[in-house]
Amino acid sequence: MTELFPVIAIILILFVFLGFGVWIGIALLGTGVATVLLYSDMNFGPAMATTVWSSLSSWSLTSLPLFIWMGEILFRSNLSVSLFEGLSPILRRLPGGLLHVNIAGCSAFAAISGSSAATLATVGKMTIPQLKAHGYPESLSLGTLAGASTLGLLIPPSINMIVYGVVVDESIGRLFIAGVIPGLVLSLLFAGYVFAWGMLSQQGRAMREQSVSMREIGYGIIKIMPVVLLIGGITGSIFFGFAVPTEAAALGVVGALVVSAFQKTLTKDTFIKSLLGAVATTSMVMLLLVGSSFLNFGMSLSGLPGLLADWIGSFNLSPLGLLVCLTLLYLVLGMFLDGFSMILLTMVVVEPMVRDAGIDLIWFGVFMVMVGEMALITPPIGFNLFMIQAITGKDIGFVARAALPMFLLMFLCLVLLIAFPQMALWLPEYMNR
Amino acid sequence: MLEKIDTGLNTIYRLCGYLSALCLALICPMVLANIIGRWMGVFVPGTNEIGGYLMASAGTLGLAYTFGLNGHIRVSMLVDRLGPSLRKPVEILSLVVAIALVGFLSRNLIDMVLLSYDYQDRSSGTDNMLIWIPQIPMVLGFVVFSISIIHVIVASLFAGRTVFVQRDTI
Repeated sequence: MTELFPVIAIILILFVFLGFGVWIGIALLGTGVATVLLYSDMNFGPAMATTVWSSLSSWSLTSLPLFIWMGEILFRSNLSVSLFEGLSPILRRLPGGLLHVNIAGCSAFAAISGSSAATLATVGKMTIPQLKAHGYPESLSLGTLAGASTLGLLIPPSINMIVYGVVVDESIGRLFIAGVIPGLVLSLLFAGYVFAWGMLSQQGRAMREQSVSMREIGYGIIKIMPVVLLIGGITGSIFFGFAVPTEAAALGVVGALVVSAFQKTLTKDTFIKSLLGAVATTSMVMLLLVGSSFLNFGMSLSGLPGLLADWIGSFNLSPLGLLVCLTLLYLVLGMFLDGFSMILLTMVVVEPMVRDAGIDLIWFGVFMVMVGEMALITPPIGFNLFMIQAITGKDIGFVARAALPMFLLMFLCLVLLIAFPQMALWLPEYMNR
Repeated sequence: MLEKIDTGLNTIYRLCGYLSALCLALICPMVLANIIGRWMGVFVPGTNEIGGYLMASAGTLGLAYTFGLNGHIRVSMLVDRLGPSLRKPVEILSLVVAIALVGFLSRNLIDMVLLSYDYQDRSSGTDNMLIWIPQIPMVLGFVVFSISIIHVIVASLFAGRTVFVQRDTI
């Protein structure tokens, strides 16, 4: 037990840094320095420099800025509008009507833009007034918006998966493919909930959208084609082994530029703005990576992660017990950290524990991204709830209650993922490599 | 005079941001060259390594630019609750922590480049490049980032400018 005192000291140091508002990447760097100082008297400056250089100049990381750039280009196109115009004739006759459009559109847009905040800001602003005008209950439109905007993070391309893959050194392609089925199951759960509302509740039964002609459906399919082709092309090329994620990302950028050119939104101005937007997000993640790479170095020098894993092992927790503990930990951390920071901050110590427990690291990546999504809409202080509050001006209590059913459905999906690990692991088995 | 330095520095951050954007954009043709080369059965040497160098350059040259946009994430939950009289010293304290660490890192990165230059180290990959060349933009990125942190400290201490309020996480 006494050998765990340094662990407590290091966690305390980290929390003091974070609490004082030190930028998270720099706080990780400082904690790394503290760890090295505690465990050795080496002159760690040169090691810090080489660690940072080798972790940043990594080819497998290059998919990250490319996918971010692709999202930035599409974010500035009219894609969100055409996505909704296209989905509406296809889905609106289902019980639950336009709410399905909200779910499908938000998940698709979140998947390609890689940011649930951007999805809420663009798509949410567009759909909330429309759904209100059609008379849908606000709790349902806000709830589905909250849920679906985080769901997209599971569907490729997922920036969180790239960060996770780089940190634990697992194949990013396999992680992408592993997220597909859980993402689809989750979206079906959301859609099923809305469907049930449309079938069973009096209000829902009363809501039926006007009928559509085949012609309209045909136009709808053409309108959603760019999104389908982008997501399908990226996922498919990785699945069938035509391209590794970085290559799929480069082709995705080309595709996004073509879409934007067709929609006549590709100007010199939007091109430069999309690049600068990508620079800001990339540098933000880079600073986190700088800190976590040196913290990793310090941790492996100290041998603490192994010690901690042994200590956890001494409780003889079942893998399930460990997962329950980690879920709780991540939901708490998710209250004040974003997905990237959460992955980079915890994986240093969590990775050996998870490996010791015999849990597949690809599966754990899906688990981690899903819990990170749940944290975004955890009542009462999930980040997306505040975003929706800011957009709609509704009271946070109302937003939290609206999102609660979606949170519970995500929890159900997490239980399913734990009960049936094949949900994540089945599809990667069939990948062509 | 002081204002001139202020605008001058801001121009430098923006220029580095543009450089970072250029590096980021160049990653794309680098990867495409690799794909096309593979289709045509030609091996294009060094594309992977150069992609990595562009990655490091893009990520670090944009650090100061992103800092100016309040783009680096932090936990602002506690700091936001502080009154103005307490908030300023706490903000400056975290800036001092930041400059101590980033400054230390920058100094060691400079040493690393000088060493690579002295020994004329080459990359072990297929690009066989002198390694100090791609290391320069990364070092420049960190040095400019350090300068921008000092800039904010000085501005908030002496120019009485409000210490900037960070946007929230994500």
